[in-house]
Amino acid sequence: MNAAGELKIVFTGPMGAGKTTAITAISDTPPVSTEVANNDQQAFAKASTTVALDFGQLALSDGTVVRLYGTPGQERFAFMWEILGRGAMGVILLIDANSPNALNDLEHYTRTFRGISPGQPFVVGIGRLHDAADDALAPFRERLATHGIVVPIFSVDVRKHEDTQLLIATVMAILEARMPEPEHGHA
Amino acid sequence: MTAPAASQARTSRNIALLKPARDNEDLVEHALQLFDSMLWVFRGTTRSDWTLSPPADADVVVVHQAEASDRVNALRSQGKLIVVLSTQRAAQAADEHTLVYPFPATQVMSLLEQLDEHLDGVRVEKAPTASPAAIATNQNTWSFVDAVRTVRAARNPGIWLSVEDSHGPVLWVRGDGARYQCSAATQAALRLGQLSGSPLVMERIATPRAGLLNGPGDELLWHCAYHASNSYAPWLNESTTYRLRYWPDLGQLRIGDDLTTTSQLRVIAALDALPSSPRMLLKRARVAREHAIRTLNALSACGFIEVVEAAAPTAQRTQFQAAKPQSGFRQLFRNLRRHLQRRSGR
Repeated sequence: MNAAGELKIVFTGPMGAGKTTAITAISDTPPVSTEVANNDQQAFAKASTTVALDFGQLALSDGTVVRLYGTPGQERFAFMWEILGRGAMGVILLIDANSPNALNDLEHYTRTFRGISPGQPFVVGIGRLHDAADDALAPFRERLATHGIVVPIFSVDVRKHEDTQLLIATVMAILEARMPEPEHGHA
Repeated sequence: MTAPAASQARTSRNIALLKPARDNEDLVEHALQLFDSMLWVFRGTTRSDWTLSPPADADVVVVHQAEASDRVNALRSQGKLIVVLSTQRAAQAADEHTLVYPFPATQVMSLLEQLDEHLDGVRVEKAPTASPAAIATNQNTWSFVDAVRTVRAARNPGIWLSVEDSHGPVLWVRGDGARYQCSAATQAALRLGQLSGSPLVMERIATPRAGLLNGPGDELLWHCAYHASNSYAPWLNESTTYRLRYWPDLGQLRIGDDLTTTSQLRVIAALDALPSSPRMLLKRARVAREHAIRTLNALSACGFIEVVEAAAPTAQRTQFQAAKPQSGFRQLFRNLRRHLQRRSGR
């Protein structure tokens, strides 16, 4: 499979952020997940984790297929990020707000993927936010703002189809806004 | 109050806030702070730009009622316009240039526009299409949004305000506008723009009653502003260029209606790609005029957009490294949206 020559949306983020869950929530077919037992329980208490990639797809009525890839969460598979990210319609970064490294993860993944394709639509979904905080997303926005980066950052629960759908819809809206004006009428 | 005339060039006005030499009351400090906050909130939304300056350079000087009359007379004799802040709660405004604390944002904005006209020496005609009745309706529609904006500008988290309609309290707003509380039914009505059929009034209270839902202030202001009107908010100028400061949290603010969400996303993404005037955005966002205006109103009320002073930049264009679908991207997006909607059962 040539990952650079197909219509694809990439889900990325650290281990446990919900990439497999998001693809499961949205994919037409049960996703192919290459999950194995997590032997890094000290770093993250999770029974299994993705070691290569997750793969799902959206098969549209006209025969077009949009593929959904989830990058492996472990840093040692970071070489896969560029392979998957290059040529994608957009990248969706998922972050677990409860992780002690949430802000560093946000910065690390954002800078890495924007380095791969600077013009690529990039959308951030923050999961497990504490509702009672006045502006719980502010620290995430501010961390990126220190690098002059303004991207959509949404609070999400990727177990819900509509939340993952919002992330994909945002990728599409960004692409549309940056496309040249059509010659005739509305799309 | 009407929106500033689109074709008028923006001028700069200097305004001074004069702290009384002899009065150290907290309330005086609060009144001046509230006026200062409102000037900040109104940036880019009034016909002219108002900048704080020393009294000597000011066109308008804001004084407290306790200010010595000889000092005020001296300022008047220099041709400066005077605005008086009164902190006597029971006091009636002595004239149209007196503000009684806590003064509403609509009154301050209206006063600034009057002062601006006075400084111009020209009476600005009201928009010919707006009848007095229509203006009054628009003011009523926006008065609650303005009140919430004022609360946010005052930034006083130590107090709570109850919001009442003709039947009693419907929701409670913290004094910095960052949180609100209400019942589940009221929250549903808020999100659908059906909060109340009668005017809403704010009153200071001790604490909200127990057992209410607790939501972020952006949610309250976003939905109130979105549903307030299908015309521009009074502080938006059709020909001023605005840019997106940051994206609103649509994970929280969307109402679950795909058409509305898609329209909001398109408007926000269009502003993110290129700072635009509302007039230009209507063409670029490719959504129904009403959706674009409502989204802009909500974005501006919550402070997600700001005025751009510099020359209009050029649009960001994505270098498409992605594979191109046979039917083109626009057709792909139409199909993909339909597909996702079908999958979600809507």
